Amino acid sequence: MDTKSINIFMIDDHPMILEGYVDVLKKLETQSEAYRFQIERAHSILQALETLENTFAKRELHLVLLDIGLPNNDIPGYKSGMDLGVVIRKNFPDTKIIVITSYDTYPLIQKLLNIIKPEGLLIKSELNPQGLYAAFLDVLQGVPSYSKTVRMFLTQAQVKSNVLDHYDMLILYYLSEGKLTKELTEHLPLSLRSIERRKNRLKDILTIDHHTSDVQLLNKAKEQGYL
Amino acid sequence: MHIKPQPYTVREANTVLNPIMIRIELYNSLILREAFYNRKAFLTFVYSPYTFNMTTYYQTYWREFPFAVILLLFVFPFPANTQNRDNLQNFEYYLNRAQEDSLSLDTRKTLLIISYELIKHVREDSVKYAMISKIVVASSSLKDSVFFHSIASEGFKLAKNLASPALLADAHWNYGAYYLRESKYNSSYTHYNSAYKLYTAANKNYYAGKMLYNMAYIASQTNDFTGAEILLFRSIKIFESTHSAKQLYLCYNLLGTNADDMEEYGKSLIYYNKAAGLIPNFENSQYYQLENWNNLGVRLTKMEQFTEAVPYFNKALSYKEIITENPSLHAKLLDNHAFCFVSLGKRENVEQPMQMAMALRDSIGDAPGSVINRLRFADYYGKIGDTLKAISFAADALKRARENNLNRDVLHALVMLAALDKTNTVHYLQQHIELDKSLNARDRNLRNKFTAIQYDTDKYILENERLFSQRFWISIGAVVITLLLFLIYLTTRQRAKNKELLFEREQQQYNEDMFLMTLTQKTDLEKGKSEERQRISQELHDGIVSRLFTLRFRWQSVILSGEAKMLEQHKHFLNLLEVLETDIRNLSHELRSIVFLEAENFLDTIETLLKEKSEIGGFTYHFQCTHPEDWEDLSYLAKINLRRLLEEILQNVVKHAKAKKVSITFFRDLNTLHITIADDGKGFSPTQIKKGIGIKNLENRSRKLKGNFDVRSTLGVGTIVSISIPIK
Repeated sequence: MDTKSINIFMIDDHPMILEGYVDVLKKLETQSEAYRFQIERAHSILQALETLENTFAKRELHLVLLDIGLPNNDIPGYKSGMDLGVVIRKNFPDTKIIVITSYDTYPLIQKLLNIIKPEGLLIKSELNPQGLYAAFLDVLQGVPSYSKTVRMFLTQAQVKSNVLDHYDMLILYYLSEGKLTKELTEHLPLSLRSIERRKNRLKDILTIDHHTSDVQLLNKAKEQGYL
Repeated sequence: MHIKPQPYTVREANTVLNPIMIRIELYNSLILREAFYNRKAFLTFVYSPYTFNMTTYYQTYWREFPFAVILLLFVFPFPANTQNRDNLQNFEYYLNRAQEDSLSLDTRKTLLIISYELIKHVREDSVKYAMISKIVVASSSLKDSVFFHSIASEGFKLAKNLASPALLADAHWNYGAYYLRESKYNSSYTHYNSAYKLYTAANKNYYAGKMLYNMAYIASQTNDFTGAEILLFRSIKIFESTHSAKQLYLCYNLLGTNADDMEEYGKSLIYYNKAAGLIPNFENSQYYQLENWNNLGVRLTKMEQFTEAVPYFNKALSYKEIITENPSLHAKLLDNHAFCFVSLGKRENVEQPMQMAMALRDSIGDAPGSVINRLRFADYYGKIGDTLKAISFAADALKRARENNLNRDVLHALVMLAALDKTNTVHYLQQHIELDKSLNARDRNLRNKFTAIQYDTDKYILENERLFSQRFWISIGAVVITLLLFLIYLTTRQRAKNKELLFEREQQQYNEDMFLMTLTQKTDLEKGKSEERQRISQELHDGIVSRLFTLRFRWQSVILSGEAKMLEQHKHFLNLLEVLETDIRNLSHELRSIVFLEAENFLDTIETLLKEKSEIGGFTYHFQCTHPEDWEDLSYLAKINLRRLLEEILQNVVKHAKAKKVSITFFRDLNTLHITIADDGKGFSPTQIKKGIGIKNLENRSRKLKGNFDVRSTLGVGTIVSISIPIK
């Protein structure tokens, strides 16, 4: 059986967890015998960018394992792993990307799916070695692999995108982030007036009174799976 | 021997009748005005036979204008007053009849009594006084002192009751004129003096001047020429200021005759010329021109320049029309003219004019004239040697002079008789000496009295002036002090008001500052808290959760061997670890959300307040709000005040209403924010609304927000409080 040499680039700020991932890959190597993994590691955005520039300019990059929650080390244009993902997707269009994130909110999931379009999207709290093993296999065979939450979001999104648009979702998201209504104008291309209107519409959709507080709105939204 | 010339009568006629004339003129003007409303009265109106002085008329007219107004009010607006009007009409008629000389004294008295009866019940005012005064004037010539006194005292009482100095002065004038007619110089002088004082007090200078003239006349009658001169100069000063040419003429004329009497002929010529210079300045003055010529002639006669005197008399006698109208003057001129001829020794053709003069004087009852005429006859007959006739005339003159109290003529007659009736010379001379002595004594007495009166009057006037100036300064002082006090009051009040406003503003500023300070403090605290939470959240998420995940993930990779049950348990623990990881992640997320929960929000504080009060008051509430952003955008101060308003209203609901349900609505229309608080409590009656301090407070607080406050309540149904405030 042919063994395929696969170049993998793993980026996470915790070296320990990368070792965990490597364990899974080694297991896959020994069990399937179809793949031989050439692994590169990076623990920060800067390191990742250097490796991409130096190592993978000459060598083909098959798979990237990217953590979203990377610390931002004052590199202009890179706030998190998300921006790094976008760059990799752009510079290595044939490379498969598996994003691993600890954030499981719908807006983030939606955003990741929209701008990185990763072949695998895994939520840390739902991830175990078996899951990662399966995900590696699926992705390497060209099958997208998503965690349970992502799959749930994808099924719900189809239903709810008819009712709530992107901005509604963002309003709910920012409110849940603890932002005040009047601060939302800084994050959204909307006037305060129209944000209020949208909030009232959300309250209508969630069948609650207009004068009820934002806390209740968020609770209700969470309850109904919008958050 | 020197004979007193006729000017005496001329003067008398003018002085005594003149005041009366003026008043008759006034009454005529009143009657004319009345006639406008009453044709009948106008037709029965008998025009005054005396000359009409226009200057005087107008002065009188304006001075008595209030009279006219009162009269018009009295006559015009009350048609029911015909009774009164008829009475007035009849009064004029009877009064005028009573003044006709052709009637007997008794008839005239009866007519006056009738006219008095007619006005007896007229309302007591200045109009009535004017009518009574007319009767008094008319009665003074009736030679019935009882009747005169009764009517004059009536007038005096009325004037006193009306408390008008001018009317009281008029009453004194009447008395003065009466006593003068009766030759009671002392009483007359006193009354004229009182009238003078009153007119001065009433500021009627023209009349005051006339009173001075009358007093001067009396003084000259009693040979007090110096006193008369002083009085005349004072009156001249007044008349010069009032531009009364005729009165000035009279004054200078009297000064002239006085100078003649003192045999200061140079002085008298100056006065007569001054008087003559004034004649063209007043109307109907031809009579006075003749009088002036007569007096100039008499002056020359006195200086025994008879030839020079004759042309004056001739000139005057050539004015036939005037002398026929004035029989007294005519007689005087004839007599004086004839006297010159007699004195010049041309004794033919003098008897006839002398007799004519005597006839004229007798017919008009000019007693002094008649006496003088007879004395002149006696002189004439003495000169032509008809002693018997001369004695008889002189005796007649003496008798008539005594009857009429003409003392100076009595003296003349006695001197003449002494010269003519040689047998009784001693007897006549003795009488003359006695009379002369007693007259001198009387005159001296009177002079002293007049001086005393004059002194008193001067003192009175000086005192008056002093009092006036004192009062004037006191008034000025009072006004100034009042103004000052008022000013001080105003500034003090203004200052107090300003202070109050300042205090209120400071208070408000302080409140605002305090609020802002606590707010900033709170925000800072919140910020600190939130930052700390953020840090903990971050730490949990990135540190602990990541490490937990790594641990769990790698643990799960470890392949263990052992009992199936043990492996199962191991797997279960690993799952629990996964759950723990999720929990911590959620906790981290929620820690960040709490930041929002505690952010300051006006409507939330309102909601909290409602919740609090509803728990205390045991009611359920319904809170509705439109346009929350408009409420959040209100200024801090507005928010404080609104919150306090609401707090106070809810406090009232809790304390008094016993409500089950309270509904609070915040809504906006165009430019106004409205709050209504409606409860279903027991309410109160509208009369209670105004009283409470609580409601006053609420109103004040609303006013600070430039808003309106309104309470409507129905007993047993509930209360609705509404507040509306404008948006800037």
